Amino acid sequence: MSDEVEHLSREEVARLLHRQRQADILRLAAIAETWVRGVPRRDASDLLNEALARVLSGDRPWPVDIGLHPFLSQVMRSIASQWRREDIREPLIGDGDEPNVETAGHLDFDFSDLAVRMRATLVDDPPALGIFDHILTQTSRKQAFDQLGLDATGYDTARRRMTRTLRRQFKTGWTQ
Amino acid sequence: MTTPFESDQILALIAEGILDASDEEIVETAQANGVDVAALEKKVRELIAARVSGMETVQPLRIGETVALRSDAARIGVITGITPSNRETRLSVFIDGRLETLYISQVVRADLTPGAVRATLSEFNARLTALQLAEPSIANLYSLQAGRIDFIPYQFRPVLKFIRADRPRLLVADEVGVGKTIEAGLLLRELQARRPLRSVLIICSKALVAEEKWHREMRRFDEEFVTLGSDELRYCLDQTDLEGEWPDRYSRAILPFSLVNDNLLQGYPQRGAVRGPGLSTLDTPPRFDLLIVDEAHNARNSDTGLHQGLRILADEAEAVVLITATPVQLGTGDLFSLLNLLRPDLVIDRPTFERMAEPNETINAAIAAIRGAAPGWQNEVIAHLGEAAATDWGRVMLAPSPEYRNLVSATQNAATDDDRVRLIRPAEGLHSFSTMISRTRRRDIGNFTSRKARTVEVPFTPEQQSVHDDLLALQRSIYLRTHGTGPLGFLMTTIRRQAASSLHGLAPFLEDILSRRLSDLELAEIDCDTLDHGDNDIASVRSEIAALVVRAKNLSDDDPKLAAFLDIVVQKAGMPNRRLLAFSSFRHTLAYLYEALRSRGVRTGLIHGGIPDDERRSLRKAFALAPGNPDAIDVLLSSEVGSEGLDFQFCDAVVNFDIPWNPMRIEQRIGRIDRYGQKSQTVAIYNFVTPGTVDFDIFQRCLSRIGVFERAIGGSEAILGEIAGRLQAVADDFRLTDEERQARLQQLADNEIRQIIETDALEEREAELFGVRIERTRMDDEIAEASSRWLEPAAIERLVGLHLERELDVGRNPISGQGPIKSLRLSADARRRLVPPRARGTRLSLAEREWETWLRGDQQTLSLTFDREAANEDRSLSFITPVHPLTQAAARSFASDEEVLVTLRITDSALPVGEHPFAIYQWQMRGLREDAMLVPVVEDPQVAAAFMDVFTRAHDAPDVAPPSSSEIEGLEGWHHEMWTRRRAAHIAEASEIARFRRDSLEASHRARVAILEEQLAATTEERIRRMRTGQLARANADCRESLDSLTIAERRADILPRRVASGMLRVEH
Repeated sequence: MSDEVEHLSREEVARLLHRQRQADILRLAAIAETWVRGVPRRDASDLLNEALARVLSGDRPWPVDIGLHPFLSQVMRSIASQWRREDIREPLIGDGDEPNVETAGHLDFDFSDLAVRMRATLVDDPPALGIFDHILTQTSRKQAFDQLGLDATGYDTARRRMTRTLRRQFKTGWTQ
Repeated sequence: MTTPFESDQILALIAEGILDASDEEIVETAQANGVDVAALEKKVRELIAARVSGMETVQPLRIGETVALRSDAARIGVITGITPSNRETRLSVFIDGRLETLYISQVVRADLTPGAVRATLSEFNARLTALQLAEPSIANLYSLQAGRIDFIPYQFRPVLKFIRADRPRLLVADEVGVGKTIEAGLLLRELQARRPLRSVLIICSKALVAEEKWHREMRRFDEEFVTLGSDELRYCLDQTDLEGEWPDRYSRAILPFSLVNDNLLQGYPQRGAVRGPGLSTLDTPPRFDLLIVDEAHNARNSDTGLHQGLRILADEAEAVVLITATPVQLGTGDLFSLLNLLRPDLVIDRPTFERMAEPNETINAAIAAIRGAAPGWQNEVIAHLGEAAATDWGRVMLAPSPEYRNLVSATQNAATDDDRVRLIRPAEGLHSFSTMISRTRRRDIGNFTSRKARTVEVPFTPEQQSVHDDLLALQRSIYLRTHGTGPLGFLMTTIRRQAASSLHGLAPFLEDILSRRLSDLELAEIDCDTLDHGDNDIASVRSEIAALVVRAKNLSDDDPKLAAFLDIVVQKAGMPNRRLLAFSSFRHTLAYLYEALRSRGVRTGLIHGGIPDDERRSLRKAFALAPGNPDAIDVLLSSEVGSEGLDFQFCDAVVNFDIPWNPMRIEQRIGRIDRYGQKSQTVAIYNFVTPGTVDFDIFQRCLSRIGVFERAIGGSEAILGEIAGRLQAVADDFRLTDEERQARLQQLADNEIRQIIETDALEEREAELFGVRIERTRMDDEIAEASSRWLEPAAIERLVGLHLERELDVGRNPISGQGPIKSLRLSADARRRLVPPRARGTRLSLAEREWETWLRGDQQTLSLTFDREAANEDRSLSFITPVHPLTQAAARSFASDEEVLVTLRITDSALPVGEHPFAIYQWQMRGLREDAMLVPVVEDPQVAAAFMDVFTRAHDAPDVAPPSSSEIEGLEGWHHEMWTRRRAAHIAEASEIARFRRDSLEASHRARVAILEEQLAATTEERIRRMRTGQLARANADCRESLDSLTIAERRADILPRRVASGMLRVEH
């Protein structure tokens, strides 16, 4: 419990992992399921396994003040995006055979379709929809305030509403 | 087209949703999507376990160990053979009734104690803390570190008595200066640690309400009380009538005596002749969880509305604390009246009371014999005890009681001095009233210092003398006009006291009176109990007073009294301790002195009743600073009310710039520095008086002779308080010549001194009679006995830290800080997760409110402490006590856990080397004396003796194997043996208690019935007859009901055991 160290030791990580309750475990599975979407040939357990391996080996130091789920979610996000990039790059190395273009196209279609369906869900809630678009176009919070005519509270409320709506509509299968 | 960035954002939104969702929602969604939740959970857990075990260094498996299949943890077998191989080790495992061959990667070490979780030493300790908080034991005190107070051992006496009494009702009859309010606060805290305290009512005098004494003292315990005026009281009664419950908003309330009257009893008059609901007309009178009555001797007369009101409140209340100036001098009649109010179930009537008191004298003789230890003391003790048991009361109550018989046999068997001393407490426990009264005398706690009093006589200047003479003349003429009656008389005396205090404060004081600006608080400060402003009478003397104002205003600046005071200030500045505490009852005097000192560059502070609490405390702090500190002050000016509740043991000199007439007030002033913690051997007291004033006569002839300036006067507040009134009667009697007045004062002092001496003697006798003696050294022992290592601040801190870690799912305690002051830093999200669920409409305590305000607010960081001293020093810190909502939540969460398994190592050459399996059980005693305790079970007697101390020095030892199932079984057997023995004793004890209570109930009942029947026989009037018959029937019903519930409680007697921890202790040398 000393102050100087800013990261959890591996023993602390292990202890923390052992303490998880059922809902925590399910949440972890759902997050893995989400991030692995669009990654070919890998499933959620691969992703979770890789994330745990990196965390437990000390490759990804764990800052003390971050909760388990937000932290593992970030780790999985970066692993998944790395995998996706590798997957697109691989054929290029492999001397221009055709196969993965299709995968990439399929993947791209999947996400476009998802984005369209998400927008449709939010169509009755203009502020939430506005925020959704802002997030996708990576504009700043300030710009969003100005364009949508919201203050900080209004923005936060609408953003929470948006996340809730999306969560209700886009439950992932979690069936792996 | 979506870019990779966009797809990442889309997934991030979904992930955010999952992170945000509640636990229930997560589980529901999974189920709704057809997920096999259990299977998924198992799969992920295995994945985690595999990953984690990959990094752990694993102890090799041995033959005879139990293992479980990795694929099915429920299938457990025993290893019968191990075949090493260069591929993978093969195991022969006897499982499901046959021998199977398994690869080592297919099995895991089996959980031997089902449900047990491996824990570290600190988790183990936290668990023991949690268990003691969740199931409080009567052997432990929970209030020890739970108030923002100085730690003064003897203030815990009432608490110790309270928790051991069979009903939570106590008469606290301490002398002045012991700290009764703090004791009441500790009782409140202690009670709170044991059961929820929803409503608390404090009843005290109007002056204490105006001074906010109780409000202020209760804030030390993080409790916020509100004052009930008649409007609020009326509202509360109406609400109680409508809702059946006292309104939550007033669940911490302070009520002045003056409102416990007919209106409270019968209801407030409404339009027409009807009355609203009152205590005696309500269907369900309000039930307070704790009722505190300060200065309860005011209610000693049973015919008054006050007594009757208190009786209803006390009957309904769960716990009752009556605080009083010593009831002893007030005669046994008053003691009876108070005890009867407190415990009508035991002290039924006057004859019962007398009967109860009878054996006490011989019990005292027995105690004296135990203490005396003369040859053959055992026989003497037994003889005395025998006499006590032979009295009327003793035959019924003492002789058959288990306590009595245990004492007699322990006396017979006492061989050593230690045995003998051990007899004193149980012997005192036999006193008939010992469980009901706690009394600490000033002399029992010792003299802290010796007092060196010096009188500073300062005559008036001729100019001052003439103003003073005119004032006297005016008073005399008013006196003769009004024949000395009415509030005007008191007001004039007060004006004259102001004049004697300082003529320079006279003009503004008179102006305040004329413009009616004096507040209740100021009147209380001047010691005007009636708080009567005399508004209507002022008009008649307005012009005369106005003339006096002009004279006073024109006084020259020449002031010998001030000059003398400044001399002392200068002298004191040259001493090692340069601090000086100067008192006056008058705000204008204080303001005058303040200006005078400031203008001369003296670092000065000023406190009176009108100064807010925070400011008072910061002035106290500045006063305590070392002189070199630029913020330090050297002279603190104060009224008695201003310094109430503040301690100045770091200052060793007091100036009485004027002398209060009430000796109690003088004692209060001196008591600020002559108290527990004063380092100086002596304290100096400077008394300023001006010859030729009435104050001078009173001081010379009376107060100084009583001895209040030389030693702490004990004795009754009530009696000492009365002196002030008698002094005023003498001082105001203008028919007396100067000589006559002096003779009267002399006589008053003589009477007083005689009375004090008589009181001392009486008290000595009464102390013998009522068994309220105390020895100082014993107090410390008792407190040590009632302390628990697992309830200390460090233990609470550990529990809370682990709880936060676990609850917030972070890997490290979010509380940081090296010294006693810590900070807790949590994100908004984390804070929201900690908001406790709560039923609608419950009123929160101050601590709960502050905690929740922080959880819901914008501040990320909370400054807090677990340390009593730090909490006392800085009131803005959140004080995390055993009853703090955070601690309570932590205790609930940890106490409900499964059993923990811990392996430890200790280096101690006094203990036998080797591995010692141990277990800790929690025993919950049910039945007549409910209690809980933690019972360690360990085989080696040497380890057993040192067992509970081991945990402070032990270290985690992950390489030590936990106890095997056969070892656990062995401990279980041992435990069973202990449990069987203790349980039999517990049941026997319960039936003894039951039999004893049944006897006492029946004896009481017979006495009550006899009285009622006698009354019934004597009456001729039909109405009264009906009433008596009703009472008789009720008495019979009550008795039957009590007997029935006693039988039920007796039958419930049992000890529920539960293994809460087990482990292995490796002792190394």
